[in-house]
Amino acid sequence: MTSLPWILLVVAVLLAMSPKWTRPDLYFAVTVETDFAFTPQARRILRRYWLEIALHTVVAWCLASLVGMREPWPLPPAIGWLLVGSSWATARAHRMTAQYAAAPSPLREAKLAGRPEKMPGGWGLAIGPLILLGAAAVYAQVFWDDLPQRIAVHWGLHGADRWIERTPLNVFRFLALLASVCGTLTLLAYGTLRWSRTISVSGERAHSEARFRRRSIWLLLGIQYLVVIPAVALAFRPETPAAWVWPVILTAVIAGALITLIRMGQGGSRVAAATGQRQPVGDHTPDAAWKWGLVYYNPDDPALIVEKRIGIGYTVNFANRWSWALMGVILLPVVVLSVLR
Amino acid sequence: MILKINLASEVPVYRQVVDALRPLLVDGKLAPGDLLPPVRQLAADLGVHFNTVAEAYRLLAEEGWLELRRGRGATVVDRKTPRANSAAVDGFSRRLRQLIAEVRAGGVSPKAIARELRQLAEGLEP
Repeated sequence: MTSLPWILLVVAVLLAMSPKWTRPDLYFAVTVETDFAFTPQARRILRRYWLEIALHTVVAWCLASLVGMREPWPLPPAIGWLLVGSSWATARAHRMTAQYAAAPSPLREAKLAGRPEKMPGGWGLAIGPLILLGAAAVYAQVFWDDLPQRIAVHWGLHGADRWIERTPLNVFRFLALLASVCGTLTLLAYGTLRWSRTISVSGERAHSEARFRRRSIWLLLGIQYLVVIPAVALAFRPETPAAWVWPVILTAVIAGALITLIRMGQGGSRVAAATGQRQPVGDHTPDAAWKWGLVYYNPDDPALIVEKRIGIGYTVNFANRWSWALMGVILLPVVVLSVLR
Repeated sequence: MILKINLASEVPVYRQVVDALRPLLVDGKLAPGDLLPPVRQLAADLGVHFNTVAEAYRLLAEEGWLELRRGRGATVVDRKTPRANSAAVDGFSRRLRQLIAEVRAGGVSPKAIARELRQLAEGLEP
């Protein structure tokens, strides 16, 4: 469990930094003046938030150490504590920031055309991992006797660390789990492309927002290949050379893509040139609909997917009934994993 | 083409949508056969309730500009312009005078009003 403190540290740093990645006129999910983040009030709120994150990280580490004496896998309760604690800290920071809220611009724009964007790389690339998994299923069927008796289903830097016995049910459950992960990621990629709200429709801001959206989709599609190819190759052919390299590549690609997105800022807001507009634009969602600064619930908003206000990427409008169907699909791999175990 | 609305305006949003779309339809910038975004998509991008956009589309459909199909959005249709009767012309004249009086009361100079009307009239010349 020597990696536990590092995992907690990475999660804590991500949680601590995430409020800084959002649009410049949003602060802890509250619409503010664009330069509010540089004021003493904003710094005080952020310092308080960081202090709480640090405290929760220490408590999480202590909890993991205690649980670790009895259980072999103490990470979930520790991460759980950290996430709940950081949510509490976010809600407090959101409440403190609310007193400095500014009125967002009432001007709204929309394109009078359908969405011409196509899935980056086309649908062939998007469903490629599913096709690969289908081919793997056929391979397993044809060359069943060549498969190893114990099939590795989880790998770390030190090699395989979890196995399943070679039975038809186990092998095809394993492939089904990978397929459900890929299906979910493809659905998220499609949702980001088609169902996410467009904030800027013209000029440099619109361009950088579209670029941000495309890169987010590329990340979702790329992860599938980086998960499926090594997972299947290492499961069916454990003698594959330099197996340790795959987790490193996966981590490097995800980290690289996230750093790129963070540098662009939420919705590409850091790339776009300032338009000289004084009034904050925000993300076209009302502050009041952001519960505790984290959950978007707005029955009057038909949008299914909106930009997150803390961190980077997208979230759902929980007042939209389709959001629950989407959440169900996202949780599907977890359910499949539970059945698998 | 971009649709712009102002949520702080006293004019209801559905009316703003109608007022923004009608000139595009009259000028032919939105031609018969063109597809408008589905109600939900336009409402989501504007951040307004979908009933607001649905009402705007319904009004334009009643005027004969749009054909609404469930699940397929709105299509611009070829509209036969009805012959205006004297009541319509009188109504237009009265509304124009009311508007001019209103903006003059608001401080807009007669010269500026005349310039604007002249520009609009030139735009109407075939």
